[in-house]
Amino acid sequence: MQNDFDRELQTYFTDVEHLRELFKQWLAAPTLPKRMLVIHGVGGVGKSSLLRMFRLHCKSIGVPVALASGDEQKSALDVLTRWADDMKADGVALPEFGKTFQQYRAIQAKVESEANKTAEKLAEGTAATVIEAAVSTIPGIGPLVSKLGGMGAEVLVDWLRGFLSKPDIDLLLDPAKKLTADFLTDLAKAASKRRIVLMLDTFEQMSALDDWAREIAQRLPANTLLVIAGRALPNWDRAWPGWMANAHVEELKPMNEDDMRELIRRYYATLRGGEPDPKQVKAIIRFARGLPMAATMAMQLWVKYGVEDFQAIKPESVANLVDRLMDGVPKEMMPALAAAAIVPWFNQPILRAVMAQEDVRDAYNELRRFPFVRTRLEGLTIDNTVREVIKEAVRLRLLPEKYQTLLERAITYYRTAITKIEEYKGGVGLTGAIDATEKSLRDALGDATFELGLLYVGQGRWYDALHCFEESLAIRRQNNDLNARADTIYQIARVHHLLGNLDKARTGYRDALRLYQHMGNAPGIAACETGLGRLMIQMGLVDDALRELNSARQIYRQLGDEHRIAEVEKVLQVANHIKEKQPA
Amino acid sequence: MSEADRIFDELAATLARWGLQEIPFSESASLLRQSQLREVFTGREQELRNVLALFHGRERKRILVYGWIGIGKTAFILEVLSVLQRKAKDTLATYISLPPETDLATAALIALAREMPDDEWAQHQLNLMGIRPRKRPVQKKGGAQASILSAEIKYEETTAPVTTPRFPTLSFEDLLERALKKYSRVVIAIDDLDKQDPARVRELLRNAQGLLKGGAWFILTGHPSGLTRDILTRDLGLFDLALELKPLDQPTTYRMLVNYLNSARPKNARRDPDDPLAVRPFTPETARVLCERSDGVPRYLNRLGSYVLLKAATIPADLITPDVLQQGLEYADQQLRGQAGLSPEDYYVLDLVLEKGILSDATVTLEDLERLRAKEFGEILPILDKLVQFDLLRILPSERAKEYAPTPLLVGRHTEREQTDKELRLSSADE
Repeated sequence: MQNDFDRELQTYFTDVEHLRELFKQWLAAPTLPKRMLVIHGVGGVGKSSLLRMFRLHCKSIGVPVALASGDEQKSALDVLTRWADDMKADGVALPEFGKTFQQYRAIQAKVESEANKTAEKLAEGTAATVIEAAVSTIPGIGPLVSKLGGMGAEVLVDWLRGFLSKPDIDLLLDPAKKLTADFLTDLAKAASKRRIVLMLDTFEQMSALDDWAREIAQRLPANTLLVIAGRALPNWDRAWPGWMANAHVEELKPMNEDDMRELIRRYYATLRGGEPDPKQVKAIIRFARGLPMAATMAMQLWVKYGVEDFQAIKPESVANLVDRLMDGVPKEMMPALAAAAIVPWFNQPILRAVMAQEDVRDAYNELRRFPFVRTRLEGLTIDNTVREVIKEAVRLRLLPEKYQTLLERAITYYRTAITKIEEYKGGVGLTGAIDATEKSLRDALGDATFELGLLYVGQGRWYDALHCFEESLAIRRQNNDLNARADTIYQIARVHHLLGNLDKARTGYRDALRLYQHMGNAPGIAACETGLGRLMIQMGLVDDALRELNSARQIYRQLGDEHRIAEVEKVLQVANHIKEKQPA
Repeated sequence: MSEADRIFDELAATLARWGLQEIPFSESASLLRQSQLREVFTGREQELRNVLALFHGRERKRILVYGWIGIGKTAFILEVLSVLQRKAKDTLATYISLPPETDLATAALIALAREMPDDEWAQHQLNLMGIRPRKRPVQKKGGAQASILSAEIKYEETTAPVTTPRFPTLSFEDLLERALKKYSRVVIAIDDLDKQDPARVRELLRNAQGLLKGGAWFILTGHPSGLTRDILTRDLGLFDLALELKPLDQPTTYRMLVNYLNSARPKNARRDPDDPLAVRPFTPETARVLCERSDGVPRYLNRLGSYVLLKAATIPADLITPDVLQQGLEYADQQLRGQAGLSPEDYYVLDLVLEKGILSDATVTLEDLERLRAKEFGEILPILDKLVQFDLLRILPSERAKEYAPTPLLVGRHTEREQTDKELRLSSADE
């Protein structure tokens, strides 16, 4: 199935020939020029597809390749298991790893059996607690705790001591440590005979594995290439200052129009055969704004939902696309879809909390059948591009009165779940899988509080907005995604500006600007400069204001954002007017 | 006699040789007694004129006094209040340093209640807030017991539970009404607003608009940036006079030094500023260097003066020669950097500022921030502000950016900009 998918990709994949060529050359070289290839770029720009193309190439020349993705693999154990499966499929033996993994599975089975016995003894009808719901998402331990009715950490360890030895408990609670060591030992033996490629996709979703991934990268045997793809660069500067010297780093930029046209033409051929209507092509190019994922997604929706007049989709008319998408959604499913779109991933407990309904089993199972809903470790997720579109539609048109309530419920759920996990972690040595789950919940909380902050700003609830943004920033500071962090700082600066806290606004705009500049985020840079321009006018520093505003206008011109250009020009008019009145 | 006794006597003898009874410098004017403040308060003639003139009018005013940390705002308002207490009849003048986490109405209520020791209701309010009343209020119980020879009244005393006022503005207004029955004018000075976060100060002022526009006079202190150009205060016209205290010029600083030294001399040994012996144990030359080094900021003069005298006393030196002064300045530098409460993170930030000369939100780079394990200037702001409170850094009066530079209390760390400023001042003086 996966191979079919990749082969299909091969028929329509376009662009980034130089990187594919570089990859081929590296694989063919007697010695690897560098041990890592790091690819970064905005979401939907084609990083995952490129990695799948790399994998196809490896398969074609017989180089063992393993690919794990942050979408699905959240813990070191998940990544190792996935890599090991891929290696095995390519004929690479991992005896040490296999042995330890079998041992781990045996311990799990034993614990499972003991848990079943204990669970039977527990009183029936015990209400599901929040801790149960939160911890149930933790791989390995989670289902066990669920079964035991939310047993506390210390109690759990004591209970395990009743029938397991200390090394077995250690392996159960932190399997990644030994399995990583064994994996690397096996890999070193295999790599002494042949070249091997390991890949990590959607690395931004693996922020809890930052240190682990760095250690892997540092300890990889020669002849093994590690490919990492994500929205941001790994945050390793402090722990491994020289990491860049060991890597070829490349940013994937949005596609140009010609490449996009070629992609649409090829993709259409695989979906329907023949040539697409040029008007349709133009409409999709305008909609997708250089992001291949957006283009292919739009075409998939068109095919699956039978939208024949796709050319009717006007530029920026995302709502139109959603309307067509929603045509196929039964009305009674709208609340569930809205709730699912509010959160980055969902399982039944989250859906229950966000929808404020006791029984969500039917809705959950129905959502699973949607073409844009995918499974991930914690449950289900709506594909990011579609999710953004649905979320926007819910906020603006479909259920605007509910949007805030849904967000607030999600935030309450996350806060409670995180608190419970923190309490739970108070026990002995429960890290690894728990950290990944907690991180995932925290990231979701960071996003939700950011969204709610934006909503509050729109309602003039500035202090509430500030509170939300500050909570979001505290979370986003722990992550590698500097763009998300800069977005939050920018919003904090904006609220301070609205409140008249000019000092704080100025510092905030500049902090966000520095991060946007570092990331090459042109719209972010222009937004900060516009904010600074307005602020400098208020401070009476007109020349400074003109400098900032002219720079912002220049960027918006390059981006072709007419709306923003008009906005900046209005402020520029004010600044020029003041300057004319100033004494020479 | 023990070794400690001998050392104590030796230090006293050194001070006596200098003609001093004690080391006179003080870090904060609020620590001085009113009589001491009158002796050392120097300069600010024009500013005093501007403020005191208002008190000859009928209309009630709100005054904002702002300037750098250590510039003398507290001393200035205490001096104004002291004049009012002595000269303005029927005026009740009171001072409070804004306590943390307190709104302006509660602060004003506390300040006013403290000055009304005979008002039972005022003292009861203090008691309710857990603040020691000037006169102990009691909840009276019981009745009179009469006898043929004497009348005796028995009281039962109970302690009232501590609560913050639910409606501090209304409580204050009630108390103010009572005060205005006895006095024709009530002046409330609330100090140290500049030690709070500017955003919080804005919120405090926004919430206290009604209070500030009510029946009392108010004198508030503020920071040079943030508050003064604040749109709320400007647009809503909260203040009738916004008075900036700038650094003192060198002759005034020199006079202040003389006044401080005189305040520690016996009455008959005090000297005129023109007398070269007025600055003893300093020489006129080292006194001038000390004043120049203080940059016209009274707090810097006090801290440096204190450290230099302490060092000179331990040498012991009869006279503060350039060499002794240098040792004193180095001692000040050591003491300031070695203050308790500074963490390794604080030192990293201090080192960066010392290295760059001026650190600002406009010029700091991501590399600079990453050295401090940060990615935002906002993350290191609390440390920078802490270093300002410790007199290691100061905020430069810039509108364009939040700029921090080392204080002149640190040895050999004058920035290029400061050097240039000084050179410019010297050259303009030459012209």
